[in-house]
Amino acid sequence: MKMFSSLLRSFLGFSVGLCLALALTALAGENPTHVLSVLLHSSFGSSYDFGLVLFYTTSLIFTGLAVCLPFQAGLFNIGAEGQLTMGALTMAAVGILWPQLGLPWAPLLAVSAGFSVAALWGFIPGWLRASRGSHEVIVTMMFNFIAAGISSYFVVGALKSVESQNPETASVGSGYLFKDFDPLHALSPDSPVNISLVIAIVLAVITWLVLNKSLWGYELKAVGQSPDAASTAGINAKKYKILSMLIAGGFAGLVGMNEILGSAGKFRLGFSPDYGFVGIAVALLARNNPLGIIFSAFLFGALQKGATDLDLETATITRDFAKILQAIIILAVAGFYSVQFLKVKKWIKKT
Amino acid sequence: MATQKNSADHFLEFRSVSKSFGTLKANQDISFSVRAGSIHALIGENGAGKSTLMKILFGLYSADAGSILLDGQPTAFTNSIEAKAAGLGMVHQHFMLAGPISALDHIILDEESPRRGLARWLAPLPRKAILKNVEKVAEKFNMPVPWNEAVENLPVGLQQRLEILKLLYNQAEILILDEPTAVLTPQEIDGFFSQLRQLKAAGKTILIITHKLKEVLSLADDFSVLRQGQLIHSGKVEGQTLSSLGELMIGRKPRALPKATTTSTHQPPALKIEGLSYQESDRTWLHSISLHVQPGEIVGLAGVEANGQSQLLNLLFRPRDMDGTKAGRIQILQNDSLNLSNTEIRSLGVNYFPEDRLRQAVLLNGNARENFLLGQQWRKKFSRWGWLKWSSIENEAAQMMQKNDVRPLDVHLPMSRFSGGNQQKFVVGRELSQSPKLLIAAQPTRGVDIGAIESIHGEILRHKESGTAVFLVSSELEEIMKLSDRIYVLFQGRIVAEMSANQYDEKRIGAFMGGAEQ
Repeated sequence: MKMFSSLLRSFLGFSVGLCLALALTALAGENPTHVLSVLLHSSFGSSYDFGLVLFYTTSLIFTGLAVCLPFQAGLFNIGAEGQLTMGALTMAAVGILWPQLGLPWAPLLAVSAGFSVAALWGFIPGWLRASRGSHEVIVTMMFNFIAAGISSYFVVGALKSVESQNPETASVGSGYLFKDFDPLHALSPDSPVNISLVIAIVLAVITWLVLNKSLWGYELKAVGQSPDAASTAGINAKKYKILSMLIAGGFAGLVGMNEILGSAGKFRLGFSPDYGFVGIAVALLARNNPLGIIFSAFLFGALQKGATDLDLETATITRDFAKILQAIIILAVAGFYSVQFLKVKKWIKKT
Repeated sequence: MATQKNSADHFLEFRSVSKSFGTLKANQDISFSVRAGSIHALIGENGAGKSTLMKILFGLYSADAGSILLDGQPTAFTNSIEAKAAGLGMVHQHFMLAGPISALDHIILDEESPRRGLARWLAPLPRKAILKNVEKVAEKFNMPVPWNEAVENLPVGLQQRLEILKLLYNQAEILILDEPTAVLTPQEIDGFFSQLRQLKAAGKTILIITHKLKEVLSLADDFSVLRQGQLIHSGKVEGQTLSSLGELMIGRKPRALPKATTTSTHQPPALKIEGLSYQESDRTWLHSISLHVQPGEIVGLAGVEANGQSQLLNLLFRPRDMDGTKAGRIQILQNDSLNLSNTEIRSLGVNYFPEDRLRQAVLLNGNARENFLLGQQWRKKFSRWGWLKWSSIENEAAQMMQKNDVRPLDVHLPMSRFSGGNQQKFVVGRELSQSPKLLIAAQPTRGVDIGAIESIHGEILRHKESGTAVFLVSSELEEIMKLSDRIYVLFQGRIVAEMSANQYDEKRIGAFMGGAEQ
């Protein structure tokens, strides 16, 4: 019942936000129904389009989880962007350093290395927060910049591609690309969608189970609700704050698996259309429910894809419009939160 | 002339003020007067009705019956802003100051801007003019404050001075100080008192709420005593002694003697503290405390709040989280516990009702079953391979709630929807359902109604009978005397007295709590 009403509120918020945003396109001189049809067509028009939507969805599930988990422990991780950069860069580096490795060890090695380095990128802010009190929002933001700097350094330096003028690394060894074993990729061979989607969904389900059914998740949520009560109950609040950031970092790093191993085969500077930041919106829309994140990531994936085509198909709207769309939707969803808040207030007054 | 004299004697007058909350009579027919230019002490134990009375005065509550007259005129404030405008000012026990902003900004914050409309938001603040005025007031009362310093950097004594200056700057004629010395060191208290005397000399009327009897004797002209919502006495301080005040405050109500205990002294103590001292942030909170609690015994720690109780409780229950300097020894069930973690202490068989229920004992947004698990989540019976067994948790939670009459009996209801009394019964039931060997009960009945108090006391006694050692910390003397087999009195971090059940003397305990010498 509680889950249903929160789903309903998220859906209402989403619809109202979408309508408002479309109304905004009318101000720019476009026909809103045309804009909507472009959005829909571009997302679901062909198996290639849909495959691309699912590719975006995959990355957004990872970053959505990376925001959700620390949030449950009372922390705000806005560093998913830096964490995914470090994860992807590490995977590319492993693939370039040992190109001769073959399946299945190559992707396993790359994924564990990428996960670990990204986890470290989450761990450091988490540790600083728990032991020194440095605010995680500031530190993760700084770590985003540092990660961007490190990736540029390696892309134009040690890992430079010799064949291309683009800001990208050399290609990873062919043993790292798990295309041939990938049933999902076979369904839409032209699009970048790959088995990472299944892994992301499984991870979301596992996260949900852990948060709601396990002792570990219980203690983590207790820390998020009241650090004081949690430590009175013998729960090590510091440990959970650090762990949640560590795992969140690792989750964000798995974006690299989707991008590098599943699709591009190399690290391209700026490959991420702000997955890390959109992940905040994904988690917010899902009200930090890991299962909800699967659906909200899909919605934002479709928006992302649809907005790229608006650029081509309309006269005045650019792909930045996707950001405006996201912002309006987030505001609308947040607005519907307080609908519930008012109801609770009324209820208190009545009793 | 006669009428003028009369109005000075009845500058602030309470006439038959009554206020009930449900069945609880917080104030019953209270009448007394405060003389203009006097220091008047309002004394009484926790829950005696002092803060209710002050809230009525400030218009935060409306009285069920009776009236309050200020300078002969009936007051009917509907909020504290009106009360302020009429010349009333209050300094709360916990200062209402915002850490990082400067002392001057606090004065400005408080000031109603004379501008209206857009000008109010856009025009620059007349900081210099305000500073000049404030300094004039501070000089007049000889209360200097470093005006540009952030408040969090000021010592507590100066923060208090700032709070008082805020009132003086707003031209308050009646200053109401709630437990003003609770946060001060003895040296600070001396200086603070001489300042209050200066204010009095300047014609201000001061109403001071306290339960430190020594201070009443040394500072106040008049005093009024509240006990269980009723006015017991109102008159001059002259001629009173510590013990007569203590008697008035606590009352002589005959107390049913607790059953003579069959405490076996052969058994090792469940809790033994030897020479425990604790220092934190330049203050020694505990001075070489020694005490012990036997199995099957309730030992009460009496004392006015903030005399070191919180530090002692934390040292008992979560010593590893305490960062100050510790010395001495604590043994819980014969284990040295001064360096154990909270979980290790819990697994020795210790349970705890924390002082601050909302912050320390419950997850307000969590539902009842999650709250039932809190503090015993590590127990093997509630999880297997790290996965929680929600069905058995729900069963036990429902049983516990039924047994302790926690209403409504719904394990899926969020804790925030239970009333305060039911929350406390829930916490008590949860902790006692774990059959503790040592129970630490801090303020077990704070903020709950009479029915819940009886049920909670009954539970504590029942567990004592079955052999649990109970360490009861409470600022309610009546509660301590009703339940305890032995009592220690804590004053300024020292154990100043120890008495067993047949030696109780309410007057003496009251005097010790107020800092009387042995």
